[in-house]
Amino acid sequence: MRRALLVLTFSVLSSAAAFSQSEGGSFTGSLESSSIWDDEADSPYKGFHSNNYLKIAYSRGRFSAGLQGEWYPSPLPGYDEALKGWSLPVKYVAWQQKRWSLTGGDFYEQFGSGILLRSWEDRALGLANSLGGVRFKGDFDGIAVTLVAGAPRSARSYAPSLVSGADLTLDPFRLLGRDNPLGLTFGAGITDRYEWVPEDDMSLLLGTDAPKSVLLHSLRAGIAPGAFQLSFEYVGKGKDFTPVRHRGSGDTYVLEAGKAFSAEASWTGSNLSLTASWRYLDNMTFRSCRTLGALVPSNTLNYLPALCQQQTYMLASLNPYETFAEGESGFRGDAYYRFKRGSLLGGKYGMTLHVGGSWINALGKVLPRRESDQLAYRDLNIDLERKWNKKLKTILFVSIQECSPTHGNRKGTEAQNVFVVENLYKFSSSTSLRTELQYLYSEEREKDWMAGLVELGIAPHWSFQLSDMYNHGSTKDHYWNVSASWSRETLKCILGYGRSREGMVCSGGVCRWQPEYKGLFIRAQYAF
Amino acid sequence: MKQRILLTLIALVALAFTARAQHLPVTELEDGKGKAVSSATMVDHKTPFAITFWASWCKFCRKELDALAELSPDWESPLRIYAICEDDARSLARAKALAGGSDWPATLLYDPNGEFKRALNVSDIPHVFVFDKDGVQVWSHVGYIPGDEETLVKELQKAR
Repeated sequence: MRRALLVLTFSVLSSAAAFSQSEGGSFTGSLESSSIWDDEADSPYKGFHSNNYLKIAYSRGRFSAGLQGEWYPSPLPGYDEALKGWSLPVKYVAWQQKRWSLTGGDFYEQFGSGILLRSWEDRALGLANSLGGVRFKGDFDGIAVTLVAGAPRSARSYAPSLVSGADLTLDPFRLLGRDNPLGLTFGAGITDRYEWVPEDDMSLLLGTDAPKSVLLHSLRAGIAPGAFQLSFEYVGKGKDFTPVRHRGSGDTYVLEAGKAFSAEASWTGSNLSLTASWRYLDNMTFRSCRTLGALVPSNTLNYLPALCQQQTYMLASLNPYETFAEGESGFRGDAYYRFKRGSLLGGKYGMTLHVGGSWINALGKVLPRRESDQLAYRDLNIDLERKWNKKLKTILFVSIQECSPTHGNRKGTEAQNVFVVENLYKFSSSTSLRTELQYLYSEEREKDWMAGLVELGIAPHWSFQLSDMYNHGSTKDHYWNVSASWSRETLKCILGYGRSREGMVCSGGVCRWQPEYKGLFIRAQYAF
Repeated sequence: MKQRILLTLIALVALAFTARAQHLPVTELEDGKGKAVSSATMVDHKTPFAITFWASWCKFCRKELDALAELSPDWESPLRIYAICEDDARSLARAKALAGGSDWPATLLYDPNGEFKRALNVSDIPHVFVFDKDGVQVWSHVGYIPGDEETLVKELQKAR
C-alpha cells in the first residue's frame, strides 16, 4: 500500500513537473540527507543511522501544492525511534487570492509570539508539529484574520487530538484608512486542543477528571513610534494537567490553569541599540498529546523559548538552560554599541561591543515547595569584535553562567565561566583561516574544559575544519572532529569523522537529548 | 528498500530536469516595527536584487553581512540586498537590536515562523539568492566562506 502510494505520488509529481515546463508552472524542491556510522564497539547506537528529507512544491498562478517525504532507515541517535521508516508527513494544496488564502493539508502556523500556538519544523531537533487540516488567512484593510483546524503531526502520523484556533490582528489607523505613524496594533487569539484519547485510557493515565478539551486565549498590543518599540502579550490557559516535579522522585500531575505574560521594549539609535524583555510563565506546558509526555520534542503546541542568550561557541553551549514551563519569571537585556570608523576606539574599521544578560527565577513549582522564588539561571555575556586591518579580525567573548540544577528548589547553584578568542585571517580574497580558542572554568560537574578550532576556507567551494573539546578537570575525555565541506550553488556536502558528546541539544524552548557517538558523518543538501 | 531508493532517485532526476528557474514566492514578512510586508514588493521590474537569510545565532550569516558592509563603500551604485531574519520569538528582539546597530547595506525584513524560508526551500543558513528585475531566480548559494561576498556582488552586478 505504502509502495503504491509512493509510486502514485512520484508519478503525479513527475508528470506535473513536465506539465509545468510547458504551461508556465513552477516546480521547486530540496533534498537533505544526514547520516552517521557509529563505530564504537560498545555503543548502543553502533551502525548506520540516517535522516532524509525530500521536499517538492509546485505553484502555478494562485494555486500551489507540495509534499515532504521523509525516510529514516534508522533515525540519528537521539531522534524519536517512532520516525523509523518512510512517510509523507507533509502534503498540501493552497489557493491564494490578493486578500486571502486557503490551505488544505499540512501547514505551519504561529499565533503572536508562539506562546498561544506554534507549529514549525526544526530538523536539527527532530521537531516537526505541522497541523494537518484547514487554514484560512485573510487581510482586510486593517483586520488580519487566521483560522486553523487540524490534527498535530506526531512522528509518521498524527497525534490523537484536534487543534483549532483563531487569531486576529487589528491596525486601528488602517481601519480608519490612515497611515499608522505610531505602529499601534492590537491582537487577540484562542486555541483549543481536544484530545481523542479514549476516556478509559485518559482516566487511567491522567485521572478521572482529565478535561479532554483545553482552551487558551491571548491578548497582545504593540506600539513602535520612531526608534522606540514596546510590545506586550498575555496568554491564559484553561485547566489542564501539569506535571509537578518532586525532588528526588518521579513527576505527578495536578489539574491547574496557567498564565503567561511577556513584555519587550527596544530602542535603536545610530550606534547604540538597547533591548529588554520580561516574561512570566505559570503552568504553560501545552502538548499535542498529554499521555505521550515530554520525551518526544514534537509533542508540543506552543513555543516557550529560553529567555537567555542562545550560545554558539562549543563550551558556552555545553550546559544550556531549558525553559521551566511549569513556573519561571525572568528578565533579559542586551545592548549593542558600534564604535564608528575613525574614532579613537573604533580605529580604521570600527568595533562592535555587545553586553547582554538574563536573570530567571523559578516560581517554586518543584515539591516540596519553597516559600520564595529562587534563582533558576542567570548569565552575563560580553563580546567585542574588532577588525585590525584588511586581513585580521578578532572577537573576544566572555560568558558567565550560573544555573540551579534543582530549578530553584535548593539554594545551591552551579557556575561556569567561558572565555573565547576567535581570529579570522584572510590570506587573499578567497583563502582564509579561522581559529577559536576556548576555556571553561568551573568548580562543579566536570570542572574545567578547553577547546580549539581551526578552519581553512577556500572560497567559493571548500572548507576544512578541525576541532577538539577536552575536559581536563575530571574525565580527561577528548571530543574531536575533523570535516571537509564542499558547496556549489545550492548543493552542499559535508564529510567528517569525530566524537560527539552526550548532552542536551536545544533550540528555543525545546531540547533533545543527544547521546554520545563516534564515527563517520555525511551531510548533503540540494535545492532545485 | 532498494526499490524505494531507486524510485526516489528516478523521481529526483525527472524533477531536476524539469525544474524551472524559481520565481520569487509571495509570502508575508515583517519590517522592523512588525508591520506586514509582502515579499512581492521586492520586485520593482527595474533592478535585480539579492536575498540573504540570517539569524542572530548564525555566526557565518553575520560574518557575510559584515563583509558586505566592508565592501559597500566601493560599489559604484547601491545594490539592492534584502536581509531576511530567521530569528523567532526567543531572539527576535536581540536580532532587531543587532541589525539596528549595524551598518549592513541591506533592507532588513523578518520571517518569524520561517514561511518565506520554507517557500524558498532553504534548509541551512546563510543562504543567498539573486533574482533578476522581474523576480526570476538567477543564482543561489548555500553556506558562507570568507570571500563568498565578492561572488555575490559579482552575480548581482551580472544580473543587471
